[in-house]
Amino acid sequence: MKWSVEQLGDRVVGKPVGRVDEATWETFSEALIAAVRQAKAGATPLVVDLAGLDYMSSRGLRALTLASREAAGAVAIILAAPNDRMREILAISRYDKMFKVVGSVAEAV
Amino acid sequence: MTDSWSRSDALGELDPAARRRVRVGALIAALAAALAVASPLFLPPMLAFLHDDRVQDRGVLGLSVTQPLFDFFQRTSPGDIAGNVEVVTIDERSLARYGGWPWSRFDLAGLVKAIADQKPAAIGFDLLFPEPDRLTPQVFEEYYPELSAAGRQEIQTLEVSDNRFGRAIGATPSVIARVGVADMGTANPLPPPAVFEGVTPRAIVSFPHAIANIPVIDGAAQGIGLVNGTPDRDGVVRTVPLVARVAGRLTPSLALELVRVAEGEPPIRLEGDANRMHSVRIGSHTVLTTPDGRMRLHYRGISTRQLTSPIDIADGKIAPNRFTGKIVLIGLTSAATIDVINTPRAAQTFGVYVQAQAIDAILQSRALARPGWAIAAEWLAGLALALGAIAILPRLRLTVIGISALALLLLAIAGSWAAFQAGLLIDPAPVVAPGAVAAVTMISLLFVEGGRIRTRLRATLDQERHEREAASKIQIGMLIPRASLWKVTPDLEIDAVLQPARTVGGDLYDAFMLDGDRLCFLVGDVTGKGLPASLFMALAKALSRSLLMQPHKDLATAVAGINSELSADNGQDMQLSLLAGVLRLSDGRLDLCCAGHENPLILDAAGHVRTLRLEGGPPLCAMEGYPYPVETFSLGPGETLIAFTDGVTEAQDPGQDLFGADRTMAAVAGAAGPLVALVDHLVATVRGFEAGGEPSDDLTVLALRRPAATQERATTT
Repeated sequence: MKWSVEQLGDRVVGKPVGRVDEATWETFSEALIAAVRQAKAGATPLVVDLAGLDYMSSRGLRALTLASREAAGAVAIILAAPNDRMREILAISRYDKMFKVVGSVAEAV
Repeated sequence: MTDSWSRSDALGELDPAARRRVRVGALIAALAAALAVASPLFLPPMLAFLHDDRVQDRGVLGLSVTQPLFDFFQRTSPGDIAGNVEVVTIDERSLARYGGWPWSRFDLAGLVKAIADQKPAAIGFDLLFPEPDRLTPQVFEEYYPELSAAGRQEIQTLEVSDNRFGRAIGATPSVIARVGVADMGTANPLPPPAVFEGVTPRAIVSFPHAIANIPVIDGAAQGIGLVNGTPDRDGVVRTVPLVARVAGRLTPSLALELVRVAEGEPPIRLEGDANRMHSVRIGSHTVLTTPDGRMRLHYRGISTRQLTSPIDIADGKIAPNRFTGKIVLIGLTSAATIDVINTPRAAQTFGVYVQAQAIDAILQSRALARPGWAIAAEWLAGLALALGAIAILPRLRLTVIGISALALLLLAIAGSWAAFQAGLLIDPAPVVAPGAVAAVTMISLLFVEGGRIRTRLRATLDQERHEREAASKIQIGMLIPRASLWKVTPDLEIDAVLQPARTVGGDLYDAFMLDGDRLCFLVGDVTGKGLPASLFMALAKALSRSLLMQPHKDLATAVAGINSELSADNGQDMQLSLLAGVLRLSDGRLDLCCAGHENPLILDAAGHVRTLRLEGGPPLCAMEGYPYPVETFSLGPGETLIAFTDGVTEAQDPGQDLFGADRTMAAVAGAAGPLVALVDHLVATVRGFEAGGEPSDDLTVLALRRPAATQERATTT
């Protein structure tokens, strides 16, 4: 998994690319927490652009939980542009109930 | 241990005591090797009795290691002896013409005269004439009593052959042979004419008696030289005496005496002290010696151009100046010759060739010698190599060590060879042996110490495995065994399978009756696997059952309670997906509460599969206080509810493709027969999909089937 983060206007956009699984979830989790802190510091929402993500195991979902806990309601975490598989994973785990999920980064306002 | 060599330092993983054991062991081994190779340095009195200077120079071990090497150097030394030494070989051809040895001294006188006519620098005889000639007319006359007195008188006036031979010898610069012996011979031969200077050392080679030529020959020669060789204990001639005491008189060797005579009879100067000689000087030549006056020969080849048969001399087939100004040796080289010796260069060779080698060595001042600094230099180099090996070796791979060791060995041998060609005996054994022994010892000790670590590690791993197995048994013991599930209720088929990805896992299932009519069941999956997940699973399972069993509490309250209790004591940030349900056996009412879990499937009696799409909520411990909804369905007669964890849907094939919901549905669709067969088929399909790959997660399947015979009642939705 590769992670990149950028400030796009009034949003912090984090972009994981590849797979979040047993081997990569720790990297993903650390990057995500850092992005939450960055968003928190700028008082802007965090958009996680899932367009480049093929798969996320339950470990990755737990990383989202931890990020949500780090945000503690002060920062909105928005999941954007999941592919079909990611959308199914989010649906089965009901993370689509914990996080706002949108079709593209542009929609994440 | 193999992979530990790829680390930066094989000693690094040892504790300090083990490290010390390895280093000290290697050092002791190096010193022991050095002592064994160079023992005479420490034990000269013990070995002095061995009249074998190879032992005294290099020690018993050094001898066995190095002597073959030095002998190899002798065989491979390039070049021939210089052309100013000629050998007249009394060979098979000449014996065929002149008859067997000894020849008539008339013939020998003729041979000497023919050589002398070419004005050689000196003629030397590697031959002995201790008896008067039998082939002289005065002897012949005794066999003919019928001769007249006049005839007898006439014969008596003829020249005796020995006298003619003596005259021939006396007419040219010549050196005649003498042999030193322990007994027999004479104790009082004619004194040799050589003049010596310097101190005669006590240790000089000594022979009490001599075998000398008859006086008419000895007296005619300009010089007398000793022809003894001094073979080593293995019978190989590596040294010849330059000077020896024979029958009480200092006598030069034949070679030295020939050089003396050829160069105008300068004095022979012995250099050294009363105990030890170190060299002999004659004219412009200085030859290094052993303390007892022997010269170590550096053998070279002898060209056949330097060999002449007496036949060719008699027949005038040689150049008229072939011998002019040269030293000419005469000796026996036929198959019947008794003067056959072994040298490092040739297993069987003639003594006269060794004499030729000795003459050449004196003329070239090129005897082999062990320089005074050799022992110290060898030791210092050996010590440096050993210490270097001990310091560097643990950081190197075995192959690098092997290549370096080979390179150093070849370098030491090459250095020794180069020194040998310069006349210096430098022993590579004490240079290489301590380092090599230190290296071998160190590697062995490293393996031993590594083995100890491995044993300790294995014990720890065994213990951990036992603990894990015990944990696994406890965890499996917490689940209702598959074979006992039928005891939960007789009114319903229940089957479940749980296969952890490792010894212990984080999946769970349970089923129990809340009262006479209501079955409570649950399937859960702790995020992660292994020991931490299994501990959380144990906690979650116990908590779930206790909260779900509380009377008068609905499913939603119980699940909310589980979420809040688990979240409260969750230092590890674990989370749990859970599907909990209550099935009323009498009418098939099915209440489900889903916390981030896979949707269950329903297989109807006709074999059609459908997914129960649940609203649900996120996994437990993901959001505190989440209001998990209870969703109610109906399970008809003969219908089967199949719940499972993501060990099914997220099973991966070798191409990382996921098993997924569609394959799960396909695997159960159309299933007929007992429930156990359906569950087994699903599990087998998943394992087949993984194609032998390691399961990515724990796998659980729980299935409930209402009997078809049950009278259907109106569902109360």
